[in-house]
Amino acid sequence: MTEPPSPRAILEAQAVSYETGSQRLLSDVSLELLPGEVLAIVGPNGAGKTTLLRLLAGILRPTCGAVVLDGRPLGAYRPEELALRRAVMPQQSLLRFGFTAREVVAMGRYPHQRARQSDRLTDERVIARAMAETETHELADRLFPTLSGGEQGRVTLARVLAQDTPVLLLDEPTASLDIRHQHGMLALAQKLARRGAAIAVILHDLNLAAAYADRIALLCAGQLADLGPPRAVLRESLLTEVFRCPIAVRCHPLSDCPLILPIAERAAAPDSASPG
Amino acid sequence: MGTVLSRAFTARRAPATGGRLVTPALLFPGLVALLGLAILLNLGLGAMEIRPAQAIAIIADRLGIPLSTDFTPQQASVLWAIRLPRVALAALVGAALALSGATLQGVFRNPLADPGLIGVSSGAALGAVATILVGLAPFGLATLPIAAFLGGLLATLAVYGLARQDGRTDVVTLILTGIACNAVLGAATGYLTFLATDAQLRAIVFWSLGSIGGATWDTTLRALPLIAVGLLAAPRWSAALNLLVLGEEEATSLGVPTERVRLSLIALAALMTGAAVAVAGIIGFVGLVVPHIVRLVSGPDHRRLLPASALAGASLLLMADLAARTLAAPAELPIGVVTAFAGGPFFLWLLRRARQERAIPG
Repeated sequence: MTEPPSPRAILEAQAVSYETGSQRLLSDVSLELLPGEVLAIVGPNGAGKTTLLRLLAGILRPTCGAVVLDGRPLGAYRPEELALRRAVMPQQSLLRFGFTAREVVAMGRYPHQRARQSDRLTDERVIARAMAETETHELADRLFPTLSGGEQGRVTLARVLAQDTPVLLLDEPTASLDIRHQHGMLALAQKLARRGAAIAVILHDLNLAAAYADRIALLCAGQLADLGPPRAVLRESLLTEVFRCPIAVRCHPLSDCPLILPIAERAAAPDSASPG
Repeated sequence: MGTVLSRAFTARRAPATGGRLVTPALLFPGLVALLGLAILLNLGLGAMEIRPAQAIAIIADRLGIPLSTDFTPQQASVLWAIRLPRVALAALVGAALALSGATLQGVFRNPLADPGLIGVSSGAALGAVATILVGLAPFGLATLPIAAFLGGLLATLAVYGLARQDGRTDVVTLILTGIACNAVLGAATGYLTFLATDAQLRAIVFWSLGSIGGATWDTTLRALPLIAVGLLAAPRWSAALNLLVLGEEEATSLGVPTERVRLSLIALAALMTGAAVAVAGIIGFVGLVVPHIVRLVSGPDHRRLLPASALAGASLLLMADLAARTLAAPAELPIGVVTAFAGGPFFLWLLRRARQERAIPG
């Protein structure tokens, strides 16, 4: 939050809309993703966060508008070219075959091997670093389907890092992580951004977004409600309206970033105060 | 290599002694040895005994290398005209079925997939039964295999075409389409069977239980190019297949041209299975189970799984054919009966053992 991100966008959504059948999941969203920044995408359930991320990834094609990567529309790339430029971390993995965690991470090297842009030593080094950064090296020989949800998430992130791309798109990477690994994962995202990566990450926890994002895109009912630095976007009135739930925003007593506090609506109180 | 070894030696949820039949490092040497043993047994056993040394000497003699081992001219002609083509055909068919099964299980991300799923077996059966009933033979003895092969290929094309929408195919739709098409083709075959005379019925039953017995150099060489294409081409996609089992979107975002990979692999599997079914009838069990057995030893990596399945399938079918022609000699059992009878219980045992050992079978 101290350095200003460099101005040239690497990935850009230009007025994108997406419809399936009669449903309009996303309408007229424009945003830029800059090298060196962590952009958090937040919003209520069904606001279109995952749709936006999949459009940015080129997994879905926009009904209207375009997504441009490095000056070229995504549709002009072949899948293997895209894979060298952006990596996508899905919400959850469907893998049911008994690959070891290390084998899963090594799959991230596929685009480089296919393009013959890597050798065995580079592969080994990148895989080892990705596993060290995600603290997954002790899981290396475990079978992926036997790992817990949080462990699978970290291994999948390691796979995404092994892909070694300038753009990272992460769909709720913190979903099933414990508090230490939630912060660890976003601190890592921030570190990668400082090295020059452009990172878009869907988050449900607004406090994590406040603490780690350089900018926040707030989605509501398929539209971009606001886009800007955490302090500008995380306003009491806006959040209360978008999430349809009373929310207070204070200043974090220790770190000086916004602290988002949902206000519990209690039913008529029983006599004794509940603990916690 | 590190992971391969540690996979064998790391205790997981299981006691370290549990489970593995052999260590993965011995996988390929072991499979090659098994195949060699199966070939020598098949060449040697039968109404006329031919010792391994004699078999080698006969082959060497044909190639113009005289060895000191004695053999009779009868032994030479039995080996050359009967046993060798039969061994070659059994190995080819076994390899084709097992490799098709392993490939399709990856393509469909489903360990229950087998070559029958894409309609190739039921299409081939309809082609074969129709030929038997019509009784026309424009291509002589090759008529039935040709009709079976075309039937299998057409059925696969129909399944793929019907499952395709907007240039994409959804895996679940593909599986369900296959089930529906198999039902229709099976019903058509059933109706023709109902119309058949007693003699035709016998031919139908014989064909649908599978047999390598008709093997000649002619049939073997006819199946060879089709199966060879699959054996050589399918493993080239194994790295992409590894990513495909992560899920379609993940494979796409890792740069795999998923639709092209899937179409190529289904086409190759249909080609191999079609050729195998055409010359040997319907031999169940091999395509479904051999990849599972191999996976328990090799792990799920298709770069090992595909070639290992082909080798194991060849050995398994050779042993099954040996049993088929020796157990009830001088009569021959249908080989499909042998594979299912011996393989079913073995697979059940393996499943239970694997379940005790780790959470996920396969």
